Amino acid sequence: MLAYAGGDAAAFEQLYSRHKSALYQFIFHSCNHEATARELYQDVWLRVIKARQNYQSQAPFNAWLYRIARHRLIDHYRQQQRAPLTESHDDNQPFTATLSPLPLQPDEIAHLSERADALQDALMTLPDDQREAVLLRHAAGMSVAEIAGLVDTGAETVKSRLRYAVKKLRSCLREIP
Amino acid sequence: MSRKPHQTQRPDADIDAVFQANQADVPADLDASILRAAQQALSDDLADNPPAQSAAPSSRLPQWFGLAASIALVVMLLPLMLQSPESSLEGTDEFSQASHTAPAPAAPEVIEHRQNPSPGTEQAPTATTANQLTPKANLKSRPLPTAESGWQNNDRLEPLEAMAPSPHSDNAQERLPRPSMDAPAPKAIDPLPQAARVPSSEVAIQPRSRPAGEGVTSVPDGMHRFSHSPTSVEAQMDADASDMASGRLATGGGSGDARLAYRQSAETWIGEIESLTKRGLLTRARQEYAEFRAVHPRYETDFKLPEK
Repeated sequence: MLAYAGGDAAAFEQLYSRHKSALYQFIFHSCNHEATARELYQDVWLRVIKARQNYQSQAPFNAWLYRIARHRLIDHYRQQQRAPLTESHDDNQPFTATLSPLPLQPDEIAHLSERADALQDALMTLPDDQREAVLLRHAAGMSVAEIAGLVDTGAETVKSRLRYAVKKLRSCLREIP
Repeated sequence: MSRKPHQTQRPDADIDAVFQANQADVPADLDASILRAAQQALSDDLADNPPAQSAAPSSRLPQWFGLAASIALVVMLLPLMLQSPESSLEGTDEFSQASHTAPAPAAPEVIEHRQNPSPGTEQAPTATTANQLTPKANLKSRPLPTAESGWQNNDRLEPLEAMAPSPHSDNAQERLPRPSMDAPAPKAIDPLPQAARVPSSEVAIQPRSRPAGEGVTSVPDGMHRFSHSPTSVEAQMDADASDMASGRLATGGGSGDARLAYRQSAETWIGEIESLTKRGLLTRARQEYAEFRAVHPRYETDFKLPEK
């Protein structure tokens, strides 16, 4: 990003090709609307381009990129008269392994791959903070610490959200015929 | 910070696999538009920042140069325009227009003075314009009325009037000294050194001893005549002529000497000759008689010069 801010266009192409797919997954599954996802995705990258001179190398570009994307999603939620990223009621509950159902089996995953809307429908059943944590974890590939730093919360809270989210996702995905 | 490789021991690896299986592709048009926007942003940076910094001095230079040139032009032309009689007659629009354009209206005068520039002064053209001459200089440089110029413009020789704008004062060459043809005229104004000047009481007699035309054109203390209007000047000319005629009678032939008053009439002139003869001044008596006969060749008198 520093190279691009210095005038290297090829650096931006490399940066974009590295992060475009994960970012689009994050945005697409967050808003559950393709046209809106396109608009938000483009707007996020335009903001990155516009704020290129403000980028500081101390922060990882991934965290900076998804912070912009998250703020843009929050603005979108506010425009939609929707409470953005509401907290789940069971954040403070201790996560136990017994609450987590068994992982999905490969045949189940192969079946879900034929149902593109199955994952999206399951994600929409999650609270916003859990869905955000799941998307940052599985779509953006962030670690728990990175997610905690991005959403400005504790790592244990992020873990809790992830475990509850995974439990619900597995249940929802198994219920899909 | 790329996506970490999936680990089989992770409890949520199945969720990762589900996301991998349902990965949505980024539309190609979005890729193109975003990359184009990124390159456009860099182009804008190159167009705005470095060229703007480098072009700023060069773009400001003509502005400052033009401003400085305008100010210098105004400063140079302002005294000329303020002191010019035309400036009081013309409107401010013409003045402002003249300050922004070449000094075309003043060109004849200025060019004329540039042919004989005053050494070391840029303002010589303005200082030597006819309208800016001091009254004294104006009088000295102005040709006296001659037979060719007449007395029509003598009213303009008044010092105060010479400073005021006049419709006849447009042509500066009329008021500038004429090189050779009018050379005698300044002599008439200041003909003699101060020591050689004749008192005004005697000067008043001088015109009477001169022909009428000559007396009119070369009266040394006749500067007061210049203040008269043409009508009054003509009257003055008539008065001078009559004075000179009567003066010729009073002085007995216009010699200009009071001792020649006996020549006022033939009788007194003969009487003077007789007196010279009686006093034994025969040579002087003969000269006077010769002059007498030259003036009065047919005058009959009983006086006869004594024989040698």
